[in-house]
Amino acid sequence: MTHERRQPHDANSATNEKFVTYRRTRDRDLRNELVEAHVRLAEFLARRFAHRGEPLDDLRQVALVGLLKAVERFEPDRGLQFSSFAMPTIVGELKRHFRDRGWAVRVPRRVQELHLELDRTIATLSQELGRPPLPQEIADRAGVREEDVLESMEASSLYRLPSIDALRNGNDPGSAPAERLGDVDPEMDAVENRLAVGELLSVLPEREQKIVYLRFFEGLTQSEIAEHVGISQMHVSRLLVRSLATLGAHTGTVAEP
Amino acid sequence: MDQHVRDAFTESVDTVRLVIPPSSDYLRTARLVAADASVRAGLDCEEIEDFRIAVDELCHHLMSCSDNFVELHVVTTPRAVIARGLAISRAGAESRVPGELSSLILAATTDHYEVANRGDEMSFTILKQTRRVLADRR
Repeated sequence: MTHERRQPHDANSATNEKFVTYRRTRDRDLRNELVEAHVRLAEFLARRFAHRGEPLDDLRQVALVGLLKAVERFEPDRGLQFSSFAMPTIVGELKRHFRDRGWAVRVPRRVQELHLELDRTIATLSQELGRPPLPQEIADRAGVREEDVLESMEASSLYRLPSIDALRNGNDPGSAPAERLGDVDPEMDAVENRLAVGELLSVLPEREQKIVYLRFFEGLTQSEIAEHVGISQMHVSRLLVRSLATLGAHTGTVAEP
Repeated sequence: MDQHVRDAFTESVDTVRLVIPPSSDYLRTARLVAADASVRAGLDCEEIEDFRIAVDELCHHLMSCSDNFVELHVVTTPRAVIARGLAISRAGAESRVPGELSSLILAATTDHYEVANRGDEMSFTILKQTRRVLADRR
């Protein structure tokens, strides 16, 4: 890690001031400057989703759209760092991209279709209202019940931020996490802190790394992992227990399954 | 704790109590309760998503440290929704604070969160307010 990244508190303040100015002026050039300043984060997250059947260039575009949305929505006075806010937004956009192609989530077709319809409704309403809509507003516009809106949100499975550490299990040799992180964004410290977890997982056999990753970083249930890996849920449970015991022996700080 | 957070905690209107086994299979149940309470509190769809994420994260944390039931109290107020989770720690459970990733997620999705351990009792509190409250405060 370079030390440019450990750093400049001033850079955060300067970025924050730009966001404050942008919130006030909505100046297009300033928006573009903010997007460009964080493009490495979008690139980094796009690569995180590479090798899943979608061209990297497409993923870069999707991640940039997510970044743009994050810049538009970011409220600097809420005390968050922009990267903390932007990461879930960009990842959500990437997941939505996969989901719209039918890969990420197995949900009933009716719910899938409803979700796609509601996504469009939310986008339209957000634009019309200048704010995110309330569920009742979405339901009224789409002609469905409020419960259907909540069910659709549940089906989206956008509620887990995947770990950056997943890179270590990816199929992208020659791109170590540190290399991917770039060398200038001062807001990436939080990401760096988690790379240590990736190092820790490397003590496990490959299949157990995958199971631990799916359970703790992707948030899959044991049953979902069982289906994914092609073994029984009980076997997943046993492997998790064994894996965590191994990890615990190395650190003494690992969660139970 | 900031004054606006204290205020939110004194305005409770309705409380829903949910007791679930310490299995991730029940995270969906917790998320649905959280989403429904958020609607009652007047949160918009993005705020609801944030609250669901936070509840999921901390319920998962309690489940990962407990063999007993996880108790979730979701309180709605006119301007906010609050979740309190309680569980008894399994003997020998070692990880009783959320990890780095969880902390990042919680910081990004809540207006306030606390995780506490007293003896073998673990608890969390999450507050999510509507944007209009935050706008009023400004």
